[in-house]
Amino acid sequence: MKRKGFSAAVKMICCVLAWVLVIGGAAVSWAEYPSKNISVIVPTGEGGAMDRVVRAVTNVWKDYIGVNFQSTFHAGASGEVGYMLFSKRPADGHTLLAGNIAPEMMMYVLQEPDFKFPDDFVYFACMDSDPAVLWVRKDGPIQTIQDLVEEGKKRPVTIATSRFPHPSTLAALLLAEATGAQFNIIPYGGGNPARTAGLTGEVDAVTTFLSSSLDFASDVKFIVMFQNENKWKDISRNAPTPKEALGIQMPEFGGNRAWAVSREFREKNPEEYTKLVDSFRKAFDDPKLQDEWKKVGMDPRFLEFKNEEESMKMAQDMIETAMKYKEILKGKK
Amino acid sequence: MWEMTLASLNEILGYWWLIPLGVGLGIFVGAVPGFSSTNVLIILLPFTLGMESGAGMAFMASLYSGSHMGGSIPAVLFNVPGTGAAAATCFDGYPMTQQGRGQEALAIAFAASAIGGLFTTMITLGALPYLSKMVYYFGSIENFVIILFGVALIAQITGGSMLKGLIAGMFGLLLGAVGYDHVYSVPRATFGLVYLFDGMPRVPAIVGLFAISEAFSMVEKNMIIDASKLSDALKEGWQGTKRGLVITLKKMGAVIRSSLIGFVVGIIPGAGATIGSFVSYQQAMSFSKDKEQFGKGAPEGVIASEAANNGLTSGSLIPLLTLGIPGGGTAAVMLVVLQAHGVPIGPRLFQVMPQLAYGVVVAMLVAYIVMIIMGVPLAKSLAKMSFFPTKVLAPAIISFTLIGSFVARGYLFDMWIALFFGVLGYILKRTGYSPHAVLLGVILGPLAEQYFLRALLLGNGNPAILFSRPLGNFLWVLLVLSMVLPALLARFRNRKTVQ
Repeated sequence: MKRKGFSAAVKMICCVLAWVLVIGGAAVSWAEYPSKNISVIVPTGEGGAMDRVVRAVTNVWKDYIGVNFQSTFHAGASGEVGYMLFSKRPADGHTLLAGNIAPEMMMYVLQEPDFKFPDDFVYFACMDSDPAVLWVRKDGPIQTIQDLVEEGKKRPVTIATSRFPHPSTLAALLLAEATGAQFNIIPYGGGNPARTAGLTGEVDAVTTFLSSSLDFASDVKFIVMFQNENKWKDISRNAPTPKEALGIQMPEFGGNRAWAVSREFREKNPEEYTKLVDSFRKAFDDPKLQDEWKKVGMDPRFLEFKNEEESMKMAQDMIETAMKYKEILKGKK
Repeated sequence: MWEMTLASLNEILGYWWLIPLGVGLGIFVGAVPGFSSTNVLIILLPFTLGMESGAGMAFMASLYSGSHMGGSIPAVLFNVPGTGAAAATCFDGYPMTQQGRGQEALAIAFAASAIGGLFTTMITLGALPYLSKMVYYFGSIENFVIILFGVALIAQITGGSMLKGLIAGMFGLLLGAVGYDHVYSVPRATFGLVYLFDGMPRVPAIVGLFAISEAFSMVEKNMIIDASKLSDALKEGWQGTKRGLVITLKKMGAVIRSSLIGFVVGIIPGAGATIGSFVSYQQAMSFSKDKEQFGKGAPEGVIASEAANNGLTSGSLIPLLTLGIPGGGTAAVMLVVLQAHGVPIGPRLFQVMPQLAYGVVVAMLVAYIVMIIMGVPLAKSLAKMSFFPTKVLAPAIISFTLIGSFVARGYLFDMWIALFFGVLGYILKRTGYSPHAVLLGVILGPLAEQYFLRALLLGNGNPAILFSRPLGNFLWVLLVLSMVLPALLARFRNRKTVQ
């Protein structure tokens, strides 16, 4: 006769397994945060400015938070791919996103992705401030913003940008609207190809962030900085603001590289969240960060800390600006 | 310049042990589907960042060169191109293996790779600062026309029926259109799948269409090699290697031409090895007297692809070293290392640290010499892998290529894409459509579209812009000639024969 049910040995194994799972799970949940390496999602490609910045910051931060960081790069669809993957990761604080607030909030408005801001995540700290600029080749026919505007009144001047949802693109479009010049914006799908187009003379000018063009500073001339005041006069070689050059008052445009974490983690784990934020603040204040920043070819003068409240306000402001100029950015106007 | 070269050589000799290590690792990495020099260099960044800048660059240049040679191994033996650059190598390399000439095909691939790479590295060394000027002449229009050389292959590798070939090519172009558009980021046929936002993933498409579909076909027979050729192939000693070397040396003109095509494509930022090898293959096929043999095991096809993708490596360093522009993923990682060491990039590099700039090229030169010594003797042993029965090979190929599909971007979804393309490739083969034409559409379609749209934007929507630049016009003429001239020459020859 066949025996019904499970043998004693099977039952014993099941009990042991269940015990291991329960105790193991509890051990994981009780473990001090962070209990494992932190994964960093970068919504741009490797080798770019964000890659360098993340490398610099995490080299210092790991000493304060006690674990290592592992970056993965998920470029695509102007950063949407990285943000979508980030929003699907467990809300345990072991996945962070290193992004650039302004371009990625513009992407959020223009592409209407499936994640929700600010419901899904919070920017808990900003680490730099990088102004949008327009530059031309040093040996090209256009040498000032006045030249560019004058030329733009005669013919559409070509301006390279990394992508349409970008604050420097919007800055150039608003400048065109304010001056009556025709700017033909050409998205190159990345900062490097856009800068190459500017250096090779395929386009008349390039609009981008200042820091990413400093490698070529000896070959280019910064003709306008989209800020109310130029705080980087020496490195931009006195690039004028729109007001100084053309008497035009414009909103300020620039990028702010920032860190984001799941909102659910922030709400449900206030102590762990505080530990995360505090450890970042300590890393930011460590003089070693300046050295690491220099090591990756970035200028420490761009370093600027902003807390959660300030970072979130910047994101909200960018969303409002992008909403206001949505039609222009979608090429419908 | 020669003093600088000798000084660099002297410095590089200090890191001599790093070069075989880099080449060996590169060959291994290139041979594993899905891995590329770029993602391995990213993994190894902590290691290279810890080295001196010269040592780090020498290691990376060696690994980069070795990876292109390594890519030919699975392409020739199992129809598994690990990267787009090796896809054209499959066209003739794998049929050679099926004919029992795997060893010969590998020897040709290794020799063409090493000689082609060596030749263009010597050009780079001799004219590094002057070559940087070439970058200024290639814009969106020129890039578009160069890609069209590759697209033209669709009409040439039709696999018997021109209509079926064109249908397959168009289908490939349609698949290549999946993803966000390059200007306004409008999603196209992504079905809301985030993994398709950045376009149809290349590696899964390549390994699916070629490797997995071939694995499905393999299970219908016992061995890869034709039964009639098997006994000869099993008995072969070093003859295959010798034959391969002799063929490569006899066809030195083809090696030089193909490596030069690769070199020029390499100098253009963003163009890449895939375009280089396809353009070179198209040119070799167009001007060959035996074009019917292409796709059926023509050594010229292997030479065209391999000499081009290795000729390209030194060219791709030129925009990085002379202008500070990384032309591709590997160069972008090199840039990170240079910046981490505070090395000035662009023109200042030649003023401040010329020995480093020349040192990278010298390291590449040494790497290609090492590749000849290390690679060619391996052909005999490696070819033996094609003697395994298909009941072992087919599951192994499917497993490895699925892992490779995952590794490239780290998405499980890509394994499904690879399987989809595997089934598609199998159906295409069984119904007489060319999987090669589909692949060309998938890979080159998005690139062609990107440059075409950009050119149109530069011309305010006026297509006349495509014919507005001297170099662009010269390339248009070359493209038309490469399509028309071979047919005219063939007709002329036929007439002569009749008379």
